[in-house]
This record gives sequence, C-alpha cells and structure tokens, in this order.
Amino acid sequence: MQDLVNSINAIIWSPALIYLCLGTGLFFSIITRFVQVRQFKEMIRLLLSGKSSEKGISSFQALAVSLSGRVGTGNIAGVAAAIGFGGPGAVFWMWVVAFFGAATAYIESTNAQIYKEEEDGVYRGGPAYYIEKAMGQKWYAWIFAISTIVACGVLLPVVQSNGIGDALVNVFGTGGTVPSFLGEIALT
Amino acid sequence: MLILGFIIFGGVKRIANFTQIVVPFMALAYIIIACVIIGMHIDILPSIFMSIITDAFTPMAGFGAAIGWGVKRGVYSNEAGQGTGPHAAAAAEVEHPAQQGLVQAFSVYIDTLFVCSATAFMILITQSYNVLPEGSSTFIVQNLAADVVISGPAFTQIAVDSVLTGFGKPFIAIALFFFAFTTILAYYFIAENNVSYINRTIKIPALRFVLKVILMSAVFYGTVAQPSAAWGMGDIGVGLMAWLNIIGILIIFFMAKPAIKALKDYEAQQKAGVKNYTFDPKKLGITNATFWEERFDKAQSKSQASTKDNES
Repeated sequence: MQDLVNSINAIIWSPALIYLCLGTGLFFSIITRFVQVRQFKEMIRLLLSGKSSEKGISSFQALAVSLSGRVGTGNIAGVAAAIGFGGPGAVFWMWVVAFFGAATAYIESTNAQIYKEEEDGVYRGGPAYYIEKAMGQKWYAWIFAISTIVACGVLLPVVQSNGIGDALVNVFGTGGTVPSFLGEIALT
Repeated sequence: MLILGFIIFGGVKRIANFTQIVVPFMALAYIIIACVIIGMHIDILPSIFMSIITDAFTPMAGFGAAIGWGVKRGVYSNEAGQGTGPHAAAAAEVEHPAQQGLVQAFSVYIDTLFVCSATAFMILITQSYNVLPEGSSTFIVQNLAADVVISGPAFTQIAVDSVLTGFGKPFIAIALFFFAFTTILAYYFIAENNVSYINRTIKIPALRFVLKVILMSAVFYGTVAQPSAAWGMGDIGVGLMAWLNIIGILIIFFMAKPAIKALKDYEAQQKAGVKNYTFDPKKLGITNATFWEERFDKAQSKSQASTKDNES
C-alpha cells in the first residue's frame, strides 16, 4: 500500500508539477501585470464591504470559508516537513509560490465567479463548472469532479485528522489510547 | 464528530457561519503566540531571515529538495492552483466576478505570508528542527532527538514548548484541532459541490449520503495512520487536482481569457469611479456566463423601468 502510494506520488509530484505551479503563477502575474500587488488596497476594501444574500455568502464569509480550508495541518505540520526535508531555504520557496500563486488564485476564482450557477437557492461553481462552460469539454470537467470527490472526500481529510492525532500523541505520549480515543469520538 | 455531523448535515450557509466565527479567531491567537516566541529571540531574527534567503539559493539539502519541498508544501497550504479555493469563491455574492478573484488572492497571502511564516519563524528561531534529506539517514542539522517525526506537528510543538514550557504542546494540539476541523468541513463543502455537479447530469440521490459516510471513515483512518502514509495520500490528492486544474485554467486562458477580460473591465470601472459595479459578459465577449447575463438583463430592465417612471 505504502509502496503504491509512493510510486504514484513519484509520478504526480515529479519536478514537472513543481515548475508548473511556479511557472503558471509567474505567467499569470505577468499577464495581469501583477494584479496581486496593484490591487492590494482594493482587496482590503472589498473584505470590509461585503454583503451576503439569501443565495450567497458575503466576500468576507467566502474568504473565511476558503481560509479555513487553506489554514489547516499544512500550516503547522506541512511547514515543519518542508524545513525538515528541504532545509530553511524551503521557506523562501513557499513565499515565492504564494506570491506568484496569488495571481493564479485570482484567475481561478474569477473564473469560478463568472461561470457560477444558482441551484436550489444557493450558488454553485468551481473548476468543474468553468471547465465545462469555458472550455466546452464535459469529459474533462467530469474527470475533475470525480478526482475532487476522491481527493476531498477521502485523501485530504486523512492528513488533517492524522495531524490532530499526532499532535495529541505528542501531548499525552505515545500509546494506542489517543488514536482510539479519537476513533471513538469519530464513531459517535 | 457530532458537531461535524451537525454542520455537514446543516448545509452550506451553516458551514459559512461556523467557520466565520472560528477561523479568524484561532488564526489570530496562533499569530500572537508566534509573535511572543519570536519577540523573545528578537536579537537573532535578522540572522534567521538571512539563513532562509541564503539557504534558498545554496540549500544544504540540495536545490531540488529546497524548491521541491517549499513549493509542494506551499501549494498544500495556500492551495493556489489546486482548484479547491474556487469552490468557495463561486458561493460568494459579489457585484463583479473580479472582486472575488482579488479576495481569494488575498487569502493566499494571509495563509502563507502570515500563518506559514509564523510557524517557520517559531521553528527556526528556537532551533526546534532537524534537517534530514529524503532517503538519507544522516542528519544535516540535528537539534532534536533523531526519532522526532518530521512530517508532523512535532517541530512546532517543541518550538512553542521551548519558550512556554508545558503550554506549547497542548496549545498547538488545540490550534491544530480547530484548523484541521474547519479544513475538513471545507473539504466536505468542496466534495459536495462536485457531487452537485454530477447530479446535474445523473441523479444519484444516495451519492451525498455515501460521501458523508466515506469522509467520516477517512477521518477515522487518519487518526490511526502513520504520518508518512497520510501525507502520501494527501499529496496524491493535491497533485491530482493541481494538474487537472492548472491545465484547465491555462487552456481556458488561451481559448477565451475570461478572467483577464473581467479584470480589464473591473479596472475600467474603477478608473471611472463607479459606485456600483456591473458585469455584462455579452459586452466582454464571454459566453455561457448565464447567471451574469440574466442578472445584467434584469438590472437593465429595472433601470429602464425606473427612468420611464421618472419621465411620466
């Protein structure tokens, strides 16, 4: 199982993806003439002036939702791993990918807004929707949707709960008690 | 877990309300603690900063390792390009799509420049880390015992504990509980959104329920899994989504440039100093944005009606 996971990762997280993430960010930064710097003031203004409606949530709420998704085990344990395996310099590359990545985030989130839909009184959207509508390739959108359900429904929650379990083990000491304690909460 | 169940079964709006209260509060508490710890070692802060910069270009662990781990864990944390952020972005009520793009870009800043940096400085300034390249058994830097787990919260817990003895480990455990808990909620929201997408074509009513059960089991599995196995699975998830989403947005850019058109339109309105922003996809040559077309037409007919009222 572990071997399988490792060999899949060696393919997915080859240096190609590393440079794709950095390169795309740099590309969109140039194309938008560094929107992440130019519109900094506007970002703050928008956060403070958001309105919500019956169908949608306000800009501030959407930020909180996405921030709560963003700020997770990665911010505490992920940074530790980056330093532990990559040395202190890895922190610098985290900053670089965040700075350029902000332009990528602008592009993907604006796409999501443009192609959003109203369904059962709430707004829905995301890559599957914009891929279908802007690219016109339904099969590609389906692959994204299924991958996302697998990733967000199974693969990613494992990391989060593992972080919680690990942090508690470091407090109470090792032994089966903490994982099984958490497990009991999980089952109730 | 009961709370998780209550929120998940309660729908999107409730998720939003819950996270809005918890996230800013806990992130702030975390940053304050980090400031306290950094403040106690303020004299070596410049040298820590320098060591990050110099090590970035002449990394002790090798260039590939530094850039690779930095980008990998950076994307893991700020999710730029991964395609998770757009789900929450779509749910927002805004006057103009570009506004949500800007807010989300800001969220990347907060995540990495504030929260990740807080963690990094805490760990580095208190020397609570080891550096062990993958596949190697010799430490390049060893400040801690060899058996401290690298891909876990241990470094951070030891860092806080070294200054606030006895407080650090439980504090990080609690902070992590809240951070991770809300992240799991966000994952559910994202997965559910894609279930909705699939349900548009094929109605499978049980799909939502199955998702809830599977997600709960995954959470349970995570508590008993080895950190390396858990992160291995997570990396597959992030990598898979990032590949598909980044290629998608690049193709969309070359086909239609909708986000760039929206930005130019927004900046033109900004320059004109309008109070209420409007978005007319037809005028910009953006097709299939049905929601905005309808909204713009509605607003048009309303304003025409009101001018007629004024005339009569």
